[in-house]
Amino acid sequence: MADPIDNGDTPGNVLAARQVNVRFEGLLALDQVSLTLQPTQILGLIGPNGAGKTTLVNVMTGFQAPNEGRVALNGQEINGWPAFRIGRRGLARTFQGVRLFRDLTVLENAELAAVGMGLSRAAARERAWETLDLLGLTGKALQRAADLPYGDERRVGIARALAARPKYLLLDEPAAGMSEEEAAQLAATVTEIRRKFGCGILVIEHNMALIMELCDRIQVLEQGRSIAVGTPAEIARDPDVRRAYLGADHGLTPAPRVRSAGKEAEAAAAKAPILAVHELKVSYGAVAALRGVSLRVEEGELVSVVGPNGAGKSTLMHAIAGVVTPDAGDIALAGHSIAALAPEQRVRQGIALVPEGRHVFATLTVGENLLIGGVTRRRDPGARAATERILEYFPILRERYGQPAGRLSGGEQQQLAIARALLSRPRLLLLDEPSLGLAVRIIDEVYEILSRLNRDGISVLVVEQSIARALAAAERTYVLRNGIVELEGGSNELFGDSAFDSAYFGFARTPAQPQ
Amino acid sequence: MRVSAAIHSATQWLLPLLALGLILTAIVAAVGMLPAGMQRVATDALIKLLVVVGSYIFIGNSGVLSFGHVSFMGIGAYVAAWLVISPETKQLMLPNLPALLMDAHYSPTVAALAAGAAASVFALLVGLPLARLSGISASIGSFAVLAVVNAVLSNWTSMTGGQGSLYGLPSYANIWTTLPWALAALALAWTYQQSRFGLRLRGARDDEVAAAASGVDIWRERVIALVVSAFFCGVAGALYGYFLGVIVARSFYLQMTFITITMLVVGGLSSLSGAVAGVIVITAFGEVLRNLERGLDLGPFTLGAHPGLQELGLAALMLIILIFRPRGLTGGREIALLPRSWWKAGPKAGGVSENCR
Amino acid sequence: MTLTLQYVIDALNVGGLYALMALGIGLIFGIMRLINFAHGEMVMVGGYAMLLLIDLPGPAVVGVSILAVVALALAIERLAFRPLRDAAPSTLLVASFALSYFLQNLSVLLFGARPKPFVFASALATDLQVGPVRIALLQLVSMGLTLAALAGLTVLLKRTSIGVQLRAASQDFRAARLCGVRANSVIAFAFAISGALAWIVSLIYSAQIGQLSPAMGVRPVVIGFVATILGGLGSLVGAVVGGFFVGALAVALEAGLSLELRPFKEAVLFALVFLVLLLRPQGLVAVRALRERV
Repeated sequence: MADPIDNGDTPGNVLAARQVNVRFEGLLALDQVSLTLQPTQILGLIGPNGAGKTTLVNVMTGFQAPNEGRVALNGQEINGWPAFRIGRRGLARTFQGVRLFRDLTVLENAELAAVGMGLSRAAARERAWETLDLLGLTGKALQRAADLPYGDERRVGIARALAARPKYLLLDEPAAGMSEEEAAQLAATVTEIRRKFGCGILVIEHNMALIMELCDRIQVLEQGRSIAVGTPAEIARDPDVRRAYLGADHGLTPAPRVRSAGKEAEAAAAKAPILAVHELKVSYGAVAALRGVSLRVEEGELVSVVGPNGAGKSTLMHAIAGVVTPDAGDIALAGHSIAALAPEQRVRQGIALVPEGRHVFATLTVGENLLIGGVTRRRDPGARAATERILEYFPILRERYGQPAGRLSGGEQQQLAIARALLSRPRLLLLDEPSLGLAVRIIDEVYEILSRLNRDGISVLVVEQSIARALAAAERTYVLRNGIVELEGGSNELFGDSAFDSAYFGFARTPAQPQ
Repeated sequence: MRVSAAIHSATQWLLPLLALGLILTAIVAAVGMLPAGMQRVATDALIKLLVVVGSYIFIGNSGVLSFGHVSFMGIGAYVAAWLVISPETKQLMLPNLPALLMDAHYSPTVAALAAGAAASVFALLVGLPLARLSGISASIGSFAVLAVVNAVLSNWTSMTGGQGSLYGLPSYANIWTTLPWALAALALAWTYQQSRFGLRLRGARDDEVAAAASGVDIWRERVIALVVSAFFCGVAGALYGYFLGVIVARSFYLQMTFITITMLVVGGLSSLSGAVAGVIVITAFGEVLRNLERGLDLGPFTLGAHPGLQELGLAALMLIILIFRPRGLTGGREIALLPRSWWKAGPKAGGVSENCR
Repeated sequence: MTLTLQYVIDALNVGGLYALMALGIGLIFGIMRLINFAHGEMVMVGGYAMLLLIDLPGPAVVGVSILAVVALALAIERLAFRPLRDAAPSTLLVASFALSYFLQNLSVLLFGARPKPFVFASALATDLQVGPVRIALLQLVSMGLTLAALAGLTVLLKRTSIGVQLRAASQDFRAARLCGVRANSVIAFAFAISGALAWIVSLIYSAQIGQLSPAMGVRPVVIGFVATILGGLGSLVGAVVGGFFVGALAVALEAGLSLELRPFKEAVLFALVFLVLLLRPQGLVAVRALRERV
């Protein structure tokens, strides 16, 4: 469904973005995107990870300069305005990462927004109290923001934005990490805000139930382009939207893995899983990222972890790799706990992580990158031979051996990152969103390699945003949401299962979409 | 609810300031009964308090660690010197001084005010570009300012006497003449902190992005804070000249910077109480060390004299605090005379529209 | 023409010294985002160590004093900076400031505040006439040492495993650890190299000024600091470029400024730092600037 708004005309009383282009180092983050938000309207902005939703909000609020396009607030062009000026004009926002003023109290957080609009401290305080009232936060008004539990942080962020009495309010994932009841309350609050203040509200969310219930209109972005705009009913029926979310358009079917039967299988079952994570809890300050995650990877398996943004997938990988220290829970490699080991020690135990965003050493050559990858094994006999074998999987790296890694294309860098991880001869390979930012064909290649590696005996745990891809490649999949495992199962069972939709999209009360 | 809220706000506003003011006055009064040597130590401490509170107004509220405040002090000292030293003495020391300055002869108080004003003007000029920087760049930039000012003061012989000292300053500074300035600085620092300017800057300290989104012009707030903070550093420079009777450029460089930063960091960078606490603790600690330096007679044995021990001890103390208690002794909190529960309670949440809960 | 050549040689000499200082500071900054003010004190300790050992045969003086400085560097890392590894950059800055002060005053305690004369290999004090130019033998030796140091460092960083690990860790510390690079080893290595570089500077510098004092390291470290920033924090090549640039600038100012303005050349240098920070924060050699993602 094409974008019907784009008539090039900017009527007076709206917040409008017109044909915005944003380019990051060659990647087109936003491609001719237009959006209109009217007063008293609640507009939902949805789309898979990396679609450009937050980038668009950043453009409208002055944190990102667009390469092309215009933004207008109530008739006033605000391109190139510094963020604070836009804030003062009546555009307020919340952040994905909340970004509260940690050393200030909840009350002062709200006061600051009012003071930012030019109110005196006394008047700001009055308004702050009123606003906290509306969001049910008066009891916590004098607590330091840093001491708040996770659930309250987001509400305070909303209170802060609201205290500016904005004409337009942009909420970036306000319900992330909320339970059903909390999300329902949030929906009621947002509706009340609209009723009381008459502001236009934009909501970026992954929680479909919330979006469907709350919004008058919904706009869908995918890979930087606006692919649909309409009422909730229209969007729910739109096949493009479903495809965008599940990414299931590659003719992929779940890979039925035949586990060897008989004695071998029994012996295999008796062995400890190569990876066992038990009740893992991780928090960043007051934010609970993982709230008791348990999973396992059997030796030789390829397991995937999927889930919406903010579910805790990257945190999980970082905790397993040792970059992040958990508050509670255990991680065991082949039966031995590794929870106390530093990351570099875990590598020596046989775990290697290919981090999100690849993180190749850009100023070092491909050869030097590989050297680093093999640093734990450099004194092994046959280290050279091992390097040769790895290069067989990745012939392109042999070609580019002497070039600085920064010059490689995205796909080549991904291959380099995997090769680098392999050189430590891991028993378990961890990959964090290997398909991010890559073209479909390249992703195919990457997964080809992963399957080969798995067949050759390396256990793999991969975090994926593309669900179809994950289900096609892995034998078992975990669905992570809000810091816990919501669903687990073999790919065959999960594919096409409405429970899966529930777990991923957070449907709880509305019936599942028609297939 | 409104009345109790108003009372609550008023007490929150007034009490910590009163507390600090009273503590300071009490200490000074006590010291007033001690011999002259101790009084000199206290005067020196009060002057440093001025610098530390001045630095705090910027550093504590903006979160930017500035090394440059002692340069404001230096500028203030020389401006005051130009205005307060008698023309005859100036004729001898700085024969090439422009006529306007040569003939100037004002009272110490007026000269101190002028010193503060001059420092503020300089801070405005320097602050306009400096406030655009954040984090470590800002710290380095401020260090550059300190170095430039020191280089100029040390070498502009015709105006400042270069590396030599300027003498002839009136010995005007004692604990009773310095105390009002210190109290004024505390009052202004507190008022600034509680004002909307202070709030905006504190928000920017915690999160620049969120502050900008909330309408805060971070650059402007930083410049304002820098100008206000420079005033007191400038006055402190003048008072320091009155205290010593003599000023020399190298007094306003690394050693003074180190001492004042130590005081601020040890006490706690983000609270005014921390600034005060830091000055008190470091002065006391320094005094103890200085006595040790001279050599102590401890009955059966004597501790030998060790020059440099005072500085050594201070540096060690700073390192220890940074490692074990990085937020300083006060941990960034203000002095609270009433129990914590009073602060947390606040007006009851009554009369709330229930339907949005 | 002869004068120009003389200036060039001076610039190379001075620039080389500053480049070494900048490298020592830049190495640590690249890997830890820490500006080590105490680097100047390592220079100072090198000088005093050589003085203490002056009666021993030459190679022994060199060997033992290098070891002393490297040991100091490692001790500094282990005792002062390792506990602070996750601290905020401003805390690190203040801590290194405090450490520098501590070491200076320790030296006052041990050696007294008065400068001590330093004469090392007095044979180097002669001048050579090379064609139209007059060069002090000491200058030649300094330049030779500097070149050797730069060459040695390049080999170390490109050809040895630990050197490549250091470069990787400077680029992306976390990713390096995820590959198995040992954080502590790499950091200790960086400090050890930094110490060795400081020793070379202390040899050249002490011989050039002819005396030792507890605060002698302050000027070099501040200049080295300036050079690192001008060249671009986080780039080793930048540090070297910055060092030579500052050297050339210092010599040019010395030559070009009128007599009254000459003392202000330091002011000019720092004003330049300020300008660079404002206009081109990534330095002369472009280093990827870090911008926060909203």
